[in-house]
Amino acid sequence: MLLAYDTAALSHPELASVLAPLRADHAAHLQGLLPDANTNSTIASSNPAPSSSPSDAVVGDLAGLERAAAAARLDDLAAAGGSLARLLASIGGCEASHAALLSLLSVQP
Amino acid sequence: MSEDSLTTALLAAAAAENAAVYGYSVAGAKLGTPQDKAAALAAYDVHRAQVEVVREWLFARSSTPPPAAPVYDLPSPVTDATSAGTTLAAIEESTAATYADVVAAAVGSAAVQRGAALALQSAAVREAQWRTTSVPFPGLTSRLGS
Repeated sequence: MLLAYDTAALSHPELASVLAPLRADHAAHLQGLLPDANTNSTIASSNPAPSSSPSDAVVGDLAGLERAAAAARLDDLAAAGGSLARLLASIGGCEASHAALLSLLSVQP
Repeated sequence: MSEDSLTTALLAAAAAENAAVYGYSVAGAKLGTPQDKAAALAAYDVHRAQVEVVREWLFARSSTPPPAAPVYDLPSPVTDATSAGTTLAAIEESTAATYADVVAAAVGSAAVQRGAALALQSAAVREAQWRTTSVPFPGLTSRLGS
């Protein structure tokens, strides 16, 4: 998910400021689950080709990823203990809210 | 966790849903735009429906939820459209928090756990829409801040 946001922000710099807080949420999720994880961008120093996709298609793709992630979080619960289930449910809530915010973004001019 | 802790968590969720219905009826009237008013009306209906869902979960555990109170304390004063949005965001966060507790207590009760997690997602979506931004851990904000 971090990689998807980094790729979108690099290929569409005009989206970077909108996507940054959402990426920050995912970095917080990863650190909540794996405190030692590295959440720095791994592709910032590379030189990606400019994307040919329009920015609202990129936003729509991210919204789809977020929706799928939120749905997957529901399936993760059964195998988790209480505290982890609580954390996973909250992360799923954040992902669902990202999907909604991105969907609003992609329909606005 | 024990059956009792799940019942306790469900009773808190029932109270939060009743408080949310009250909160939307008060704060919804102060919202400014037709879009916000429509969103508040839809959310009011969702919370009323969710009161019934949680009530059914409690009945299934031979517990009876208390009736709704006539008045609830709002998390913050509502004087205008901006404060109404802030209050509704706080109401959704506290609703999400009670569902997070249900999820934690419902290990082994898969249907209730999944339903509570879905209700948390629904509250988190509305919370973000009132805030116009997301929070990283909806339903855990007060827990992590304390």
